[in-house]
Amino acid sequence: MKQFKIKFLAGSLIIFFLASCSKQLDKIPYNSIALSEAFQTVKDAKTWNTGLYSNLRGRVYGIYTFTTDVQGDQLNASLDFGNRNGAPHRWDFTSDDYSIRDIWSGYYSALTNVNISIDGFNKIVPANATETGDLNRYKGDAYLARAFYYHQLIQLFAKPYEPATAASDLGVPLVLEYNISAQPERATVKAVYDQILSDINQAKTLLSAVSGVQGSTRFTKDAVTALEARVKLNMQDWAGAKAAADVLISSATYPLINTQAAFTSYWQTDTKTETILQLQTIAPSELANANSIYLGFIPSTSRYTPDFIPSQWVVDKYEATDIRKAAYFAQKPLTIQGASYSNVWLVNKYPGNPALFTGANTNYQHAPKVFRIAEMYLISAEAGARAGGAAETDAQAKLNSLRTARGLTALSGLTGAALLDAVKDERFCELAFEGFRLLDLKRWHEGFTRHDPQNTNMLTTGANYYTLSIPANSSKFVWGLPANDITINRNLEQNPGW
Amino acid sequence: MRKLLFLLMAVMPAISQLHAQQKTITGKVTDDKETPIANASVLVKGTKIGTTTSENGTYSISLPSNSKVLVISSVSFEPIEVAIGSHNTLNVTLKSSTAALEEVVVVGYGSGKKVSSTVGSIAVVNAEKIQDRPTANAFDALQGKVAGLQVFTSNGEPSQISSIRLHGVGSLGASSTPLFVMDGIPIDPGTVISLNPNDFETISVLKDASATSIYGSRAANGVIFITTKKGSANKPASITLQTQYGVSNLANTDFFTQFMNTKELTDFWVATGYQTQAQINTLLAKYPNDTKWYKTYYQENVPMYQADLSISGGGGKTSYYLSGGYLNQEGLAYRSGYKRYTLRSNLNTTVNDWFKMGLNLFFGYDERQTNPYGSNSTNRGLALLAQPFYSPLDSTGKEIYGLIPGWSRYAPKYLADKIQGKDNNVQFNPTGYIQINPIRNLTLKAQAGIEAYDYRSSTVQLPSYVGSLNNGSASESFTRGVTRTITNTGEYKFNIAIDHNFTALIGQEFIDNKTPAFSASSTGQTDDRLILLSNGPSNRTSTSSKTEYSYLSYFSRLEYNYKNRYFLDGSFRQDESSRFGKDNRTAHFWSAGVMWKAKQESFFDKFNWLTDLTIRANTGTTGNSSIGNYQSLALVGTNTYDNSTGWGISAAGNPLLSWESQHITTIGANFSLFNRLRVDVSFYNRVTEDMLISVPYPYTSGFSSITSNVGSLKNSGVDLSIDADLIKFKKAYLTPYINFNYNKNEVTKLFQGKQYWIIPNTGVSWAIGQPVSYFWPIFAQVNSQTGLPEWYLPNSDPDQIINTQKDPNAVTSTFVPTLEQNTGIKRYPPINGGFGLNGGYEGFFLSVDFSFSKGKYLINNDRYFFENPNQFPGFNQSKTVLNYWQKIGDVALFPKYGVQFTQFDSRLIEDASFMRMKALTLGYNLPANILNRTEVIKAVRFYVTGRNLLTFTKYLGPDPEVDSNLTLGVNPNTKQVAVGLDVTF
Repeated sequence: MKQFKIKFLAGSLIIFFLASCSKQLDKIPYNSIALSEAFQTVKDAKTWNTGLYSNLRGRVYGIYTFTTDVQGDQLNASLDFGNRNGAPHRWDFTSDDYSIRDIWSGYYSALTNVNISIDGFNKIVPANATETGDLNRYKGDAYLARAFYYHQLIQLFAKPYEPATAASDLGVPLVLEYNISAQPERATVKAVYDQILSDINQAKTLLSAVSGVQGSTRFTKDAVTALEARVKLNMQDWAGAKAAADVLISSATYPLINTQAAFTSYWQTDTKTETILQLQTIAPSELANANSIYLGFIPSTSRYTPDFIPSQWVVDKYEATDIRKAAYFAQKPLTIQGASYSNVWLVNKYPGNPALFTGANTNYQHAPKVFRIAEMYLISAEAGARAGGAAETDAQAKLNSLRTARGLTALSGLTGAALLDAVKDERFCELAFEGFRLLDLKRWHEGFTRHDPQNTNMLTTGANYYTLSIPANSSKFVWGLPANDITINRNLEQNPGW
Repeated sequence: MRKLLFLLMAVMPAISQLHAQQKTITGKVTDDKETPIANASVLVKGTKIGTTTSENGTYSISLPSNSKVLVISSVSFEPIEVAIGSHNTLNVTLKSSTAALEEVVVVGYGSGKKVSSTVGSIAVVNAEKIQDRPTANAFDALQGKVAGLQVFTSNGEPSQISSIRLHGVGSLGASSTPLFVMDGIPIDPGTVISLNPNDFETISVLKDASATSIYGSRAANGVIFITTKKGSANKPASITLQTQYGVSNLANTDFFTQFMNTKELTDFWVATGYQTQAQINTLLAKYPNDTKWYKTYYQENVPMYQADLSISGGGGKTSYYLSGGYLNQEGLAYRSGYKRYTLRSNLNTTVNDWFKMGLNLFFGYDERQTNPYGSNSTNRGLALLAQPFYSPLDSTGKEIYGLIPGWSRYAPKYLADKIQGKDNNVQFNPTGYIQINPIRNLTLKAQAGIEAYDYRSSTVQLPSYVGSLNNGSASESFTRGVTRTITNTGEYKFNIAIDHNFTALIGQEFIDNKTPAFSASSTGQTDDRLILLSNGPSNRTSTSSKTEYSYLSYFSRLEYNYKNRYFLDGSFRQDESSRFGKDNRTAHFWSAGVMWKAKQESFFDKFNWLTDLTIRANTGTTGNSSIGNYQSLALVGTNTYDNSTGWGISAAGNPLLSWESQHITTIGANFSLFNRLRVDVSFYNRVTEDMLISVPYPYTSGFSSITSNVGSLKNSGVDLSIDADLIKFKKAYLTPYINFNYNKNEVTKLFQGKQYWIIPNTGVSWAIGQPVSYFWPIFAQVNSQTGLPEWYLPNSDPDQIINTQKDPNAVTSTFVPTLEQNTGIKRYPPINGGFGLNGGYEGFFLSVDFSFSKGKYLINNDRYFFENPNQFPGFNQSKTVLNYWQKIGDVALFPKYGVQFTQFDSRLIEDASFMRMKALTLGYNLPANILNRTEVIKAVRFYVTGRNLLTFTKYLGPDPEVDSNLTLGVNPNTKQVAVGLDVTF
């Protein structure tokens, strides 16, 4: 009897015991893999390379583009803007501002992936020549991405490059290796630019076989050249900037658009003619950041409630024949705080590509344009004007190429300051709302006063709004480093005024 | 074999007779209502000679004729000793153990025992305290009921669960929620809302090391043990029907009525030059209203209904408890509500004298909706920004169903109808056990339980929604969580030389969780009647995920007492968890405790007024592993580009990740005076080390934080519970009570050599030597000469901002984040408790329960929106903004117009201490003489009950009970009035 009991007992307990004792304590996730296993083959490298573009798409447009535009002189806050992006617009933002934080951390987290990739790619042994070629391309992409991100960071968080002081001006921390516990100091502006140039040169070699095509969704050797032109203009390397820009202009791969219909469609439906690099965007799974602050379409009333409205003088900068005016702006009926306004000029550069809608109405989605040829004409023209002398003729020619394509008359006899002002005005018009304006003012050392808004009844009133005046030396042209990093990394020095 | 047995049986009496003269005593054991008590133990004192009573309460015992005393005892009765003398028949009446604290509890594995004989500190709340409450949330009614247990219900969503903390915040990084165990199986705290509180028998709160260490790895924040009801094998079946109907309203409307009306707002606009009188006149001609918007966004007198039917009883060796429950409560905000159906079957059976088994099955289904328009949404949370001159009614006085003119937001009812979010949860909690007594006093038990749920979220945007006309959308997501728990224990009870009583327990436990999920969505639905996923041709997406964790544990406990007077106990547990680094997976926990039942000493005999005195002390360790899964691993996650999968680093990982450990020491005493006043007091000291904290990293590392074992935290305090039988007559009773806890919280160690760390954008700081505190810019005043706001400059050395600096000569009018310094205000309230009374006269009964929290502070983020006319121009504001600086000499709350009125500074940190009447119940039990005539109905109970009927607070926001550092757009707590009827057949 007792024996039976014990057997029964033992049996029943053992069943449970066995069920539980199988070693089930090594749990690994299903949605990710161990970092230590992620660099084994060129196929792995390809996957990292895909990730690089996904990250890049998440770091253009949206706050990465419009935060500086909101801070600049071209826009006014509507009464219904709800304080969205209010702090940079009023210039009362502080180092714990969410946009500053997100842009900084966004670039650095992408850089972390780039650094891990470069390191990991170097450990992969390609099996054959095709794989070697592929791997080189992935490496080249990584170097170019690193140059791009550091250039964005240095433009925002440091003083503009001045050859005389760049070696002592504080730049941003140069993180080139993945090291979680690093507490990096800020490198000098010059050191950062040197690194950018070095990475561009690496990319130039590694991507030399990748030809540019209109609307490429991956880095090409043309994208390398475009970044080189942009960087060298910022470095006041006039000859270098002009040379790089001219390579792309003279290749004629990306002709300037010169009809209204084509130019409108270029912005509304992402046609590719002028685009050196844009990022692939597919609805609904691969959406980009949206520049959604300009329209605020209300479907039920078919009216608009934008956050930001262009000033009247900005709209007036475009001549009647300028094909950009109708492509960049549209007159819309507004409802602001319950009141109706008609025929208000709104920024219509990013109305949303209908092919990317995920609902009945616009989601303001576009394939983000990273480099386009018009900027190269402006770089060439500005570099030429700055270099002066013989280069001025070519500068005026480049300027006129752009002007005539856009429906304007060619200018003549421009030299010196007049030429430069004409180039600046053209940059103002051509690149409006693409994130350039404030950075241009910064590197030109120009302050501004907001003025001549449209109907002030629909705008937010106050000293820091449509009458704000900012001197050229305002400390907030140079963004503060995010409070998080300043607090944790005691090796960092904050910019003055933050 | 049979022959041999027969022989033995025949010989045995003969043998014993050789030892002594025997005699037989018979009798019957009943309770004070003369109901027979079965299975009561009848023991000759000082021997092992004993028997148990039969089903009709009778016994017959053969004993040596020199035996003097019989000890008769039974579960939930007070044991009694009777002198045998020359009696041959002894009928005995046992008194029920009256105080709830004498309940038998089955906690911490092993067999049950009386709370008074456990070394550990266990507070038992009888479930009737939390039943018949007009809320789905069982733990809401626990507020103020247990000293040291802080319960807050942060909002008024009917599906809201309470946040619960025992003895302060136990960890700065990992969870501070106690471990929940139901009938021996750990459950998720979120499951509680799905359970039927009427199925609960008791809720026990295990507070100290002796009670909790046996639960090891997850018990650092205490253990809440829910025991569900059982039938009784020897009682006739009883059927109970409980019904209740009630209505809900906002608990407190002070906040909502402080906004400007049309005249005040428009006058303010003219006075500040924001609009001209002419503009106002035009506006008011078009919108001549004065609307109280909160009435549009929160409904009034919203109904709730609940009904329960339970049957409990037993026959032979089997007992059962069966119940079905239904609850339906709507929220005040649209698209808010909770509906629950529950079924429970608890069966226990004694198969034979050495084999028992039981099976508890719980099944629940609930549907829940929560209003999604909270923080930062002008569709509810910030809807009071709506200008009063607009109206939710059209010109004919009918409610607008669509876009509200002027305000330009959809009417909340329209939005709720057109954009629906309905979740439902299927909950299944089966628990089974078999228990074997292979030899006397050895109990082997194998228990297996599953906690399984299927949680489904469905959201639909109807194609008729004018915001996206003829283009609807649908999404569905499913999550299934299955946690298996298998526990095997062996318990052996023995005594040496009669008075030395031992209980030894060993056990093993395995817990394993899998949570797979998937979701899909589509858009392009064109007809409100066809809104399935498959009706949407566009934007079809699908996702899935799966996570797992497991625990493997071994534990043991040894309990000893001498004469039931001196108690000692110790426990040891080893745990391993998949959540930690491979080499740091194992942890050990232990406890040691003593207890002295001092009243039993003879030198206390003369103090008749002292009816009980017990002193206890214990110390031990527990752990915390309430963090996410896989955090020790460096991981690469996926993303997508151009229809291909890409990789990117997703987690930095920390291979050194291990347990957070806690050492807790408690000393306490409980005593009772004149058998009327009961006092329980204990002092504790909790030290948490190697805390699982998301340690901040500079963004340049690529990460913002990494979970690591760093820092130390100390909580020390006192629990005090007093209750008294103020009136104790047959017909009338009145028992007031109070529970009180004071907790002192102090950070003792941080990370990266820091003296303090301000958690970004929260205002909350951890500083060494300080309680968790608010570090924020301290507002000084509005300068009466300049009209500018002024803040105190903190110490210029950033390491010294722990020391508050409020120098009237060191102020600034420029607001920057570096103005942050120690405000001296604590994040967590040091004083919590409750008080109330229970009373009755004849059939009437009354109970009142208050809970309070003192020293509770909350950042009122709503005020940033409602007291900031420059930042949110054109919107309605609180009346307080009228008090702004206008001319030199003005002493004003706010600066001059044009300067930001409200910044994130100390002004927003408000005293949110509160006292709430959690429950008020007045009822009547029909007297027995009436019920007897029915011959069917055993009890009838009518009552009126209220929840949150009174709130006392200085806090200016919508609700002080929010358990957070800051509150914005909360759907505030509600109050209920309900009537109920309980009938027992």
